[in-house]
Amino acid sequence: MEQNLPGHTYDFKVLLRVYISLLALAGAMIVVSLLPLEAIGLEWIDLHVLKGLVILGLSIAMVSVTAGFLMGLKYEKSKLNTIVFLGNFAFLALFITFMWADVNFRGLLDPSFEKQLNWESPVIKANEAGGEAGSHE
Amino acid sequence: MAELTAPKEHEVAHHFDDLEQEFESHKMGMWLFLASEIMMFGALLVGGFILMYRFPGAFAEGRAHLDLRLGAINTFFLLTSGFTMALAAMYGQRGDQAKVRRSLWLSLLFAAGFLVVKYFEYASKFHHGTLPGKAWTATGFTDPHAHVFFGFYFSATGLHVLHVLIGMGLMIWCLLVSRKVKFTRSYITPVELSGLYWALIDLVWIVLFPLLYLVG
Repeated sequence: MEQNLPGHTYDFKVLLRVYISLLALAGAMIVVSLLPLEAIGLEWIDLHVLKGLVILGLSIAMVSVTAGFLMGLKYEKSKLNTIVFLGNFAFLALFITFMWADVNFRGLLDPSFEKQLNWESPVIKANEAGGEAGSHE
Repeated sequence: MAELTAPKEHEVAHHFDDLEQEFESHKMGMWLFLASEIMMFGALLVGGFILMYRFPGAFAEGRAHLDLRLGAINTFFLLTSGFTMALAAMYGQRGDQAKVRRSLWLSLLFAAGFLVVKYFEYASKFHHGTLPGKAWTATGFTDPHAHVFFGFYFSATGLHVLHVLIGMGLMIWCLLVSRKVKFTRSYITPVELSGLYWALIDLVWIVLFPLLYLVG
């Protein structure tokens, strides 16, 4: 007798719930980004950073739901594909750590590093050539 | 439209024992390919983080010139097309060829909607001259590195749009396959693999959308 193939949910209700959850999470991300938290001005916590972290958390939740249900990792018999997927993010985290260390501390060791990124700005050139009359607004 | 010949059952390739082994092998190959895709987009994101860290003012000013409504509509289109692709695989397992095709057409429709919205976004950028590097002609920006944000914007969304086009090509391929081969409880490989690819496109957008439109 034929069997359902592994690695997928075959329940419409589950898929519908997943879809609604993803829409809700996306909506929550947008709502959080529009909250005027900066106006509160608390000294003991940077609400601007907190807002970014909440949005990042919602984004990670969306990625997890998509990978688990729509890509079927939750229903896999073998965990090999899950390891491949998570391994990707482990390496990505490693790259981001190296990047963070580099941009933070290279300037301390090599002062010329700061000048390397100050290339000639086309924005200043365009402003000088066009003036406010040709503004994009 | 009436079909000239009825779709046939898929036959297992001679080097596989059964349909499940064939399916699992194909899927593992697809996952390894997706891993390479994630690393490619990952490198792009790390580059974006470096620029965001170096030029926070440019990212804040650039972001203020993106239309959040268009980004939100595109998020809706991609999430919905991801849902309909999953439905296509579900109906494939039930052997409902007509519903598989309908789901694929719906996915194509929402994917096309994404491209239409992206066209309007790009057209606005070209009109205002907020283009990367030396192509920049916009005036009125205060941050001297505002062009850096748009350089990242076009690189990231351009690569993503290329993937959307490839994903749409895969959907069309599935539609063509569905005319020749009957999907069954044990054979949905084309739809499943295309669905995985499309879900990756969703994943990338789920990360790009907040990074470009929301955070900062």
